[in-house]
Amino acid sequence: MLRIARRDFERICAQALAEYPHECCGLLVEKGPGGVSVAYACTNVQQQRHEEDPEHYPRDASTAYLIDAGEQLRIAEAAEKAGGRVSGCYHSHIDCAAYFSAEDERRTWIFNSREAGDDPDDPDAIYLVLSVYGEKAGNQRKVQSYKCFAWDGSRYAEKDVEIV
Amino acid sequence: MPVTVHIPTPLRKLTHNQAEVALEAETISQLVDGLEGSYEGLAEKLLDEGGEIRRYVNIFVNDEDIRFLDGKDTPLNDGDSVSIVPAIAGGS
Repeated sequence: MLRIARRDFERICAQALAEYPHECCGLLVEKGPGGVSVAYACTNVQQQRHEEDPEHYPRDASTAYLIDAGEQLRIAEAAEKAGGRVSGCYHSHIDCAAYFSAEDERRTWIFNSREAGDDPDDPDAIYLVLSVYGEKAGNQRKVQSYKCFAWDGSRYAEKDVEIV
Repeated sequence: MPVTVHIPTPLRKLTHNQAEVALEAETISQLVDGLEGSYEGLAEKLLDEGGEIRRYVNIFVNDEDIRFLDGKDTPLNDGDSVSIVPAIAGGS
């Protein structure tokens, strides 16, 4: 289950709306086990990578996200120094539903091997996905829905979100 | 004084659960070779089939991404801190 403060959730929604038609992204930091996660907005560098190297990064930021690794490192180091940890991440989907896509799943095995039957790299990570519909699809821009996913030992399953 | 390498959790099974290891190396290439020499299997986690750092693996030297330095040829100095950071990515 993801527990998140309302102000943080609202900040994520505002970021998702502001960055439309690009996917937004950020990290979730938990100060203690089972605690409330705090959201840290990150830069989605997918568009830049796609423009520099479209062969290896065929997707642009409207269908993919890649968290700025420098921001990721600094947030993770600060969290660990404070006795917490990066507990997961969030991102938005553009003009489509909030689901844990094949691409989302694939990128959770960087070092471990899914083919070999390994768990994902961080089997405890939680992933919040927001669905944002907007003018690209002829709609007024809005966060349509959100869902949260985590590894249950054999697959990614939907988990509850508690906004406190 | 050697270089300190911060090992991400999923790779610690290869480093006998050590979160940090110390190695002597003058470049990132030498560091990867040294890691492989001490902890078999680490190089294949970091390098692609062409011997380049894998696209979804980031390596930082003192908080600087080696992509913006000299890549695998990035020089290392005594006391440097090297972090291996798996990318966080996905899409719809």
